[in-house]
Amino acid sequence: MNHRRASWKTWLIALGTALTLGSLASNGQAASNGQAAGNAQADFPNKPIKIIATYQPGGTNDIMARLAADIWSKAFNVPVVVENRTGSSGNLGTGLVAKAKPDGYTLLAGTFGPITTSPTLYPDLPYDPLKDFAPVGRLATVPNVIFVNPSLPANSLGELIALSKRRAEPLKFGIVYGGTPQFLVAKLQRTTHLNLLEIPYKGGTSALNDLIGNHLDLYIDNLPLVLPQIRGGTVKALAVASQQRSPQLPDVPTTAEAGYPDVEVSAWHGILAPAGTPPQVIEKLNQTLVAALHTPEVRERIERQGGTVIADSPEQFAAFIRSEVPRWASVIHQNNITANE
Amino acid sequence: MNLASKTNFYAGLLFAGIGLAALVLGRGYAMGTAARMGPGYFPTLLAGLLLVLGLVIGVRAFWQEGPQPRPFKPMPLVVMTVSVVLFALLVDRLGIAVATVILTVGARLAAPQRRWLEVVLLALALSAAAVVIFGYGLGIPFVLWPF
Amino acid sequence: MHMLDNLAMGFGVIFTANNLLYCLFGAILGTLVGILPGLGPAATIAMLLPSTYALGPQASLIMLAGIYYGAQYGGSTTAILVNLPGESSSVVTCLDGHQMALQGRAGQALATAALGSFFAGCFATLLIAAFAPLLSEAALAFGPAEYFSLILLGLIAAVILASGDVLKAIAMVTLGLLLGCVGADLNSNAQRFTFGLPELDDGLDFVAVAMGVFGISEILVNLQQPGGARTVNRDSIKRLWLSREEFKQITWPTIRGTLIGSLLGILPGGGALLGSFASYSIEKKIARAPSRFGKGAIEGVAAPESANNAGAQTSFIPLLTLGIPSNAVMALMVGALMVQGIAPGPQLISEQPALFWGVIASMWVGNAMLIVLNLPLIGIWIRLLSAPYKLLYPTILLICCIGAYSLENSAFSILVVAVFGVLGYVFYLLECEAAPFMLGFILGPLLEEYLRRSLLIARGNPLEVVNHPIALVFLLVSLALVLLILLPNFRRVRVEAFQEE
Repeated sequence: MNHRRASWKTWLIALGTALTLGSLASNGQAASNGQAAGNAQADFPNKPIKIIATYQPGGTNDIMARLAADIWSKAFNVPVVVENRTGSSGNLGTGLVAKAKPDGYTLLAGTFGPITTSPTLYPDLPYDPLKDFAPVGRLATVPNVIFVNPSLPANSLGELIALSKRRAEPLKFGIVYGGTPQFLVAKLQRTTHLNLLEIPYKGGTSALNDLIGNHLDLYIDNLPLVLPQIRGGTVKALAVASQQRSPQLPDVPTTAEAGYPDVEVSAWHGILAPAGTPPQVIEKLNQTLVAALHTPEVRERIERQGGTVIADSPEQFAAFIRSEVPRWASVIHQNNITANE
Repeated sequence: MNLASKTNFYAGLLFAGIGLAALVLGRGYAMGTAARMGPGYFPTLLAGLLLVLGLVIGVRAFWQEGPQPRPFKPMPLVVMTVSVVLFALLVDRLGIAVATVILTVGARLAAPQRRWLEVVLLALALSAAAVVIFGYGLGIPFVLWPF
Repeated sequence: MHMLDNLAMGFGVIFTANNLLYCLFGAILGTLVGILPGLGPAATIAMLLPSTYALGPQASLIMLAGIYYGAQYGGSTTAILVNLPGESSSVVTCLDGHQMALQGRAGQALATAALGSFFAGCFATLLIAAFAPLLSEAALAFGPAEYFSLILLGLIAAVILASGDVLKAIAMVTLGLLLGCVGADLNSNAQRFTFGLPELDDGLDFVAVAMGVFGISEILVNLQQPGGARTVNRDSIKRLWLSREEFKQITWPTIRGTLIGSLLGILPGGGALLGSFASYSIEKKIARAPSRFGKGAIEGVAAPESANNAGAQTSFIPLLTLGIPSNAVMALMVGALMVQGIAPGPQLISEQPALFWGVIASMWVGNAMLIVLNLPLIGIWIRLLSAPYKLLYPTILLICCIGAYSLENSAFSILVVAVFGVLGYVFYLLECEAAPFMLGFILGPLLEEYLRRSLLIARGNPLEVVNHPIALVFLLVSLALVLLILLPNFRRVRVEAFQEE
């Protein structure tokens, strides 16, 4: 009989843990199971809101989605959950929101790739960023940093270009296809004719590791990933590719200061709703978001990671997307960029 | 045929066959150069190596002693594979509860000596466990029921 | 001593009711997801990550770390009992661990795995505490050329792993490498061997392939036997615990496995994957009777199990000292810290000493909890194993199917399991060993990536390797191994060793 009791205990432990896990996971499901509300505009929101993040938990896209979720759940007093639907370079999750019910309860944490470059890069994209979305507002932009191994004898972008001209062999440059750095380097090469040997990587962290280990000379990535390394002195920042200096890196000049104002591509993070969402709902979402983004705590949270708060209106965001899509289409055509993963 | 090891002969045939198939499937992939390898370089290299190894293993089996074939009964293989495939095809349509019953009954058909009452009870028990533990408990987003 | 002060601070952090609780919760949860193949630590951590937001950085990292190394313990249980490797590091444990289980020695195998893992965990924790910054510095010397030659060496060592025909083992490694090519090419995004299936874009999933090749084919093999019964029965299980003799047998393999696993685990570019394979090959190479391996040699469980737990632990080093995650689980831990507003980087130790040393101390505490948790479980597992096989195998089959489904929440992976089940059975019929195949499959994508990257950097000149002394040494050792394996002379020695038994 001893047997029986022991195995019951195992099942109890198993069941207990399973239920704990399940209750944690079902938070996510509660949102999707909620019934559609009849009169949406007036009492919005009266049920949980879902934000789809298109990249892995822990990345900037996910962190921004969770920031928005935090803001809205406090403001509206309803659960706001983030669901990570990764795949197809972010196009999968973006497509899901494009086809979702336009009631304001399913939102997208949109970023550069799926919204601005995918329509040009992927001919059979299952959505049209200009027609299928009602923009809510941008939270922040995240600049790119051009940085090198500390042992490389160049302390500014100008010195790097001079070094590249002097050296016979090209600079070893790590590249992750698909993100803003790929487009930034295309611009950099067009204007400065840097002699680069492009070495492809699957993810930013392995490229960063190889740069720190001096197997690469030059790398470009979003500031949040690199900031701790710059502070720790394991890499040397040459320039920040943005209009203003980053408050986190007051000593690092911008590309514009270095004489290349055109070399600027920043990743941005914004919230979009499916097209057809009632304007009152969009307005309400935007106003609460903007109000929170102007508070010191939220501003600090974004800036500490290297981001810059944007907090624009739905109209400004829509205009931004309308101008970005054709702009990147021409960059892509000029530089013969193809859909690399 | 006068084979010293039938098993090794067939193994050689399998390797050579897969190598050849990979060469044919991969013939369109760009090769590139050693400095700038295309998507076809590495697989073509491996497929070629596999083809050669397969041929050597197969030819060597004519004189080098090796294992002789193991007994092979096709029924369990066919029945099990079919029931797993059925599970895969039906789980999103009929739900985990029904698919589990099909899988369990199929799996039990693969072995001799079955008592039907026992099979039915096992199928129902596993089906209930799948729904409760994996569906509700772990929250794996299954379709649970066919309705 | 400075280190002791720091460790004392770390234990101060972990010995609070709250943190102990999360450590325990993580360890239990990790064990459970490790036991269930398919639902690995990465998926679990991804699921729990949002809810760690409220916990604070220490508790959340302690819990997530617990899940990670708990899963290493749990993974070996399934590998030993039902021949299902849920993690790439458990593939080797299947070889001798499952054989031991079939011989009625599952208790000893599980105890060896638990004790070896515990020893390795303790040692690796001390290693991290004493030398973490130094070791991460050394790991940075590994660039593409070094990784390529290390992985090549690992693959050649895999041939030693096989117990039969050398040529067939080489062919199996090659076949594994070839299947590792399936999916979108890294550099050009060209689709390779995907047959137009978008599900294959990211390649075949390791867990699905392993469940087919090991789990399903094992069931098929068992069903071939008369009456579909298996040889394990209650009577053949004599003891659960290790004898004095067995303790002696596992002492050195455990120590060697721990050392090898610890060192390889530090390399963020895939070293941890190699640990269990390398330590197994070494044990087999130096054993007096290598032919026992693959037939239930207890050293063949002790070495890889300690190596894999040591590696799991030391793979925290790049994360904690440089802020660089070495695998998918570590990347999620970076995410967990980012959510808390902490960006892990080279200054983590000086800026967040309580977090750093607290996590290290929690590893030791977590390992102690795991051994206390796992040893009593052995008895229960044994009883489960002695359930009638006609009830057991449909259950295993169902767990495989559900595990495969949960990988991507899609039924496609179940079809992969079915296909590789058939292939695994064909391997069995043709006496081709699955372990070298799995190793080739796991390391294939890395081998190609590093080969292409290092030749790109060397402008296509393989002789550039002379500028990389570490890589050169690995390549020379690889070459020596190939000669050893292929020389007919050596062949004869192998045969003699075989006859010793």
